[in-house]
Amino acid sequence: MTFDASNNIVSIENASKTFTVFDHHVGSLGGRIFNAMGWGTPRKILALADVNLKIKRGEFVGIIGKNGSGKSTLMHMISGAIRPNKGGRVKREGSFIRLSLGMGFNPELSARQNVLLNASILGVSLSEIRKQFDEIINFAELVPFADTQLKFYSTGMRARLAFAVAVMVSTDLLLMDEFFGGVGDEGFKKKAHKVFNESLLKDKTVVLISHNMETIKKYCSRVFVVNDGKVSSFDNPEDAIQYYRTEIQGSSLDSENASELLDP
Amino acid sequence: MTNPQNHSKLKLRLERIGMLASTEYYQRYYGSSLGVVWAFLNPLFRILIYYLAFSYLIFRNRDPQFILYLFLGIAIWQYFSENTNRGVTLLKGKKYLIQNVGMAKSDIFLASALSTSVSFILNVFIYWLISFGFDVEYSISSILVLALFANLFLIVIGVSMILSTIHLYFSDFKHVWDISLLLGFWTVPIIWDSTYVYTTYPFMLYGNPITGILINLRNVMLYNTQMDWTVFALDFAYGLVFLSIGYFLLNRFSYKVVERA
Repeated sequence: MTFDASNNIVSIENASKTFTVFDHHVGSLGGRIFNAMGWGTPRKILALADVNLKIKRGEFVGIIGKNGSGKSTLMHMISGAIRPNKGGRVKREGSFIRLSLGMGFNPELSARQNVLLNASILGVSLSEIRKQFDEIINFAELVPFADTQLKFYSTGMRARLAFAVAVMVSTDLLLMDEFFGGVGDEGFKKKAHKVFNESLLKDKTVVLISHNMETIKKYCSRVFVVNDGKVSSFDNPEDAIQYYRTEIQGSSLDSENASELLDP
Repeated sequence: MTNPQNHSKLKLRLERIGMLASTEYYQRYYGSSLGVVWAFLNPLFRILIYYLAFSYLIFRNRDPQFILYLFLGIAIWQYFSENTNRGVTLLKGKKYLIQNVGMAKSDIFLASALSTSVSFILNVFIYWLISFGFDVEYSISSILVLALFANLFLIVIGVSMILSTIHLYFSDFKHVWDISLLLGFWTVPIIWDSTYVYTTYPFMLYGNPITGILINLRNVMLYNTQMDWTVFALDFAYGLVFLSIGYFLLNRFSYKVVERA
C-alpha cells in the first residue's frame, strides 16, 4: 500500500499497539529497580491488532465499540500521538485538533489567551485569529467571560469554547471523542447539531468516536467498528451498527445502550 | 474561515513560539501580586544575601567589585537552573497540547527558554547600569556577551530536552536533578575565586560548560579582558552536542508522554 497524499489524510498500515502494564508502579526509579530485579509482573496488553485503514480528505468517519475495545487508542494513533509497534506505519497529513472536554486548554489562562494559543499552534496567524475572536466567543455564547480564567468555567462552558475553536479555526482533521455528550445545555446542543447539518464542516475531515448510534447513522459516511483491538471497516453505517449490535453487543442492555437512551 | 496558506510557515512558527513564550511568562509572574517585579527581586535579593554573608561574615575584606562578580555568577546560574528545573517536567506539563493539538515538541522548549531569557536579559541590563558605579570599563569586545548568551541558550535547551525525556521514564528524576543543581552551584565558581579553576581544578573548566561561560562572561563584562577562545569553542561544542542528543531523544522517545499517565 502506498500513501496517496492528494486524497488520503490518514493512512495506517499493519499497525498494532501493545502496552506493558506492571502491577508495581513503574514510573519511579524505585519501581524501575523493582522490576529490573524481576520482582514485578509485567503484562502485555494488545490494544490494537494489525490495523489497516485509510481516511480520505472530506470524509466523516465514525468509530464505535465497547468501552475498553481500543477506540481511544485508535484515535490517538490516527493523530500520531501514539506510535504503533515495530513494523506498523502511520501517516497523517496536516494539522489536527482533538475535541475532548479538556482539549488543549490551560485552566490558568483566560478564554482569549487559550483561543490565541490554540489557534496559533494550529497554524493560524495571530492577526487573523484576533479578527475572528469575537465570532468564536459569540458562537460559544461566552462574551461576558472572554477574559475569565478557564478554571472558573463549568464543564459545559469549556466544551462550548472547544467546539467553537474547532469549528471556526481551519484544521485539516477534526477528531471528536464523544463530543456531543458534553456540549452542555439543549440550546447549544441544537446549535452544534446545526453546525453539522449546515456547511461549517464542509471540506473538513472528521473522525468521531460515539456511543450514540443515531449520531453515527446521521453524519458518518463510513464507520470503523473496534472490538478487542481489531478494526472492521464498513462503508454503510447501518451495516456497522447492525454488526456491532448483533456480533459484539449481543442483545443485552449494557452501558452503551444506556448512554444511548440518555443521550438521544 | 482562516487560511493559514496566506502566511509563510516560518512566520507562523515564530508567532507560535512567541505566543507560547509570552503565555509562559504571563503564567509565571502575573498570578502573584507583585507580578513581574519578582523577576528582578529574586536575583537581587540572592545577590545581596550572598554578598553580605561572604563579604562581612565569612571573608570580611572583600574587593568592592565582589558584588558584581557575584551578580554575574548568580544570574548565569539562576538562568541555567530555572530553565532546566522547569525543563524536567516540560513534556508532561504540556501533554494537554501535544495530545490534543499536535504541538511541535521542540517549540515548547524554545518558548520556555525564551520566556526565561527575558528576565536574564533584564538582569544583565541592571548589572550593566550598576557596573558604572564600580568603574567597570567596556570595550567593543564586550559585545561578545551575545555569543556567550547564545552558547548558554543552546545548552539549556539541549539539557532540558534530555531531562524532560528521562522524566517520562523516571518520574522521581526531578528530585535527582534538584540535588544535582545544588551540587552544581558549589562546583561552579559563582562565589569562590575562579582562578582556582585554572590552577587547582582545571577539569572543572573543561568538564563543565557553565564554568567556562561564566569565566568568559566575567572577562568581557567585568575585567574588560579577552575571552578564553579555547574554552569558548569547547563550550559551544558542548552546546551543540547537548542540543543534538536532546533533539534525538525528544524525537525518539517523547511520544511516551501520551502513553504514560
